[in-house]
Amino acid sequence: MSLEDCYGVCGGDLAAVRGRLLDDARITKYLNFFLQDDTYANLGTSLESGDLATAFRMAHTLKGTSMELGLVQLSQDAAALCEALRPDDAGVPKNLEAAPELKQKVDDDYLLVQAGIALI
Amino acid sequence: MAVGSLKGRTILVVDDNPMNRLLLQDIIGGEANFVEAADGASAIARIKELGTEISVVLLDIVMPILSGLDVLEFMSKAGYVNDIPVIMVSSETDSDIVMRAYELGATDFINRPFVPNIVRRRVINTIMLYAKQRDLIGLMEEQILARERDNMLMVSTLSHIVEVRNGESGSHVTHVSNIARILLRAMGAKSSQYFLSEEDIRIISLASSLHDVGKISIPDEILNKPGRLTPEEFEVMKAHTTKGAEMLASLDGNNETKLVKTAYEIVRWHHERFDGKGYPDGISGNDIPLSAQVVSLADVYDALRSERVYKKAFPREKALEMIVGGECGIFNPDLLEVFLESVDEMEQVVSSTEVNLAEQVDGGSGGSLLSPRNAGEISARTVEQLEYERQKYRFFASMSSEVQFEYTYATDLLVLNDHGPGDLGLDEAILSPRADERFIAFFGQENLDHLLEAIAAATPEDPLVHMKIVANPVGGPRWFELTARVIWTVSSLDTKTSAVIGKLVDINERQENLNKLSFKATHDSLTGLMNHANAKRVISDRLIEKNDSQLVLCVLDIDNFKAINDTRGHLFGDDILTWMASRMNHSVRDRDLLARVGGDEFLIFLEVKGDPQLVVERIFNRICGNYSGWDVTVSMGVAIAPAESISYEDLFRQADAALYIRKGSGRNGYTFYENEQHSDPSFSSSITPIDSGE
Repeated sequence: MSLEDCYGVCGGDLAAVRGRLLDDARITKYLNFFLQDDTYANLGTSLESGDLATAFRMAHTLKGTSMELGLVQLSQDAAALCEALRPDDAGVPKNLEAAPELKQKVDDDYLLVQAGIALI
Repeated sequence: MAVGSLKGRTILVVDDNPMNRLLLQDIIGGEANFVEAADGASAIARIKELGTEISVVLLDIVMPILSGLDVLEFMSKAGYVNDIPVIMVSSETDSDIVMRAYELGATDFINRPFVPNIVRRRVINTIMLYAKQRDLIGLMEEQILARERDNMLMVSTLSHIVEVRNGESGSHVTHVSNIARILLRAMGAKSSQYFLSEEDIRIISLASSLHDVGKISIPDEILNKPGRLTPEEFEVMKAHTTKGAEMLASLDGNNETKLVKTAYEIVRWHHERFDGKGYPDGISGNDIPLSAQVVSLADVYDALRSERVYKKAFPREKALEMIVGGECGIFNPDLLEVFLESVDEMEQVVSSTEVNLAEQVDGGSGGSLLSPRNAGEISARTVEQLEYERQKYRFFASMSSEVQFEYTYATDLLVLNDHGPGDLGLDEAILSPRADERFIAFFGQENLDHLLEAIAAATPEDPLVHMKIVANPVGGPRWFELTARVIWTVSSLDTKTSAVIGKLVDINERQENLNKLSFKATHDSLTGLMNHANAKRVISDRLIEKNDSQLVLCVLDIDNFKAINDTRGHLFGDDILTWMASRMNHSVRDRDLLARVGGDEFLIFLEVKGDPQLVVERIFNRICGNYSGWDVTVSMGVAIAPAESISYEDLFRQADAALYIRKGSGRNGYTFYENEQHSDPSFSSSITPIDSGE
């Protein structure tokens, strides 16, 4: 049960993270932190309640934090969702119709990440 | 390890996501002192609070309400962006946004995901860069200042030498310079038309020492001839103006500086006359630059008052006479006026024999000749002073237990410093408070309008604003006392409101106590009804008011009340009184008045539109009743206020008289006052007052 397993499960790039964050203890610490972070949960609730501005911000943050930890798959899908929700000058999201599908992908990725972290 | 350390440095980390903030701090390392902000508003509050104590700001872009770009914009407008480096940290790759950040003054942009060591290095380098920049500016200022002083000293020395060669005494140059300064200051004080800045005055005063530099080209025999000059000789002499001007104009590359330009004016035109009959150009009036006018007069005065090769020194009165009489040239009348007012000061100058070159340079006040620097180039010393002042302010602010606020017009930003005990429910920094919903919900639109009016009405002589308001913090409405001071910036062009500072003190307890005491003073403590004094006051006012209703006063007491007390005890008696008061409350309308005016006596004041008889009947039936086995009845006397005005005392007396009649006719009922029946001289009031109603 190790970081390798974790990253293998959720399609992450462990080598890159090791290069950046330097030691496994730190990586593990932040992975756990990531689970407690409520950005993902907020993304869900804001989409449900129709608060698209917040949803956009949450997707953007999620993209960033997962990228930090080398959770590539999740980061890419969060990025796609983020762009679909990006508001134009009038505040209307660019591609709201695509959002549910993209969100589904993000959900799947997140589940994998959770599973992976449980393996550590 | 690496050069440069973060020890003792304060780093402000701004990001709405806690994990991001933690990651950054972890990466950068522990020697630095981290301050966190989770949104734009608190970032701004921290920047205002700590100012240049912050060595660098790490700023996220995407944040709720106020974004990183909004924070940058604030820093730009408020001038912080020149002193505090900002490193954007974001996963935003949109090039428009990146450009905007740089335009607003961001120093650097770090993309996520970042490589820890590199981030750390970039942060350290940025901090070092700004620190060195500050030191450098300080050093440079000092050096420039020193260099300028040296230059000026050279000028001063050379002109002194010239004067000596011209046969003048060494102190003539100093005298003219000092007299010129005195006159220029006085002219500026007299009228804004002649106003010059201290710097300009110093330059003129220094340049004045060159006024006769052209005399170098005059042959010795003419220059130092003791007798009268022939007309030809005089023409040669006059040329010292044009010759000197030529010399100055031919100064390669330097003839554009203020000093040389001013010297040119003075050299060329210090022999012009106000009426245009001077030389070399015959210009007149205020076409002659003020510098030349003043130096001309100063030159003449000092010449008259000192010994020369061709004359003795004239005494003070004679010199003044000659000048005012036009014997030594024609001068601007305003200048002459000022000249005569300044004689005592000038005499002091003229009588000294000191030659003080340095004084010419410094202008006698030891100041800098440097022009004001613009916002981006504050020296390290100034910054230090600012930091010190900020620390002082923060300390004193933390001692209070109130909300301190500061609003700046330029940035449209309201910053709050909440040391009060309660929760206002507001952010620390509010952009555009006049349009901010939460702020208006707290403060109240009406209160805000009053406050803005009061601020507009304030003047520098009377800059304080004082208000008591009810505001809405978390937990419900409370009383606050607001004290504010308006601050203006004064420039030579206008006076503008620049800021408002002040404090908000929670006075809810105080105000509520005040209200309670006020109630106690005007109401009966047992029944809660008004007391007689208060009722009298209110009813008197009502009697004066115009009213299309009839005004009716009833005075009543409880029948056999003494018996109640004797049989059932005083506590029971009190209960009946309270019960009676409550029944009365339910029988009358809001506008009607009730009062307890005696032990068991009450008063009702009515405004009746219909038939008073019916109303009184109804009330009477409603208030009599059974309390705990006891049948309670009252006797009531009723008086209707006549169409002509009547005093409260008279109306009361009528109702009282009617009550007396009622008591004499079996109680348990009401009687209306009728004039003829009730003027019984033996009548005395049936009221036993708790208070006399006076």
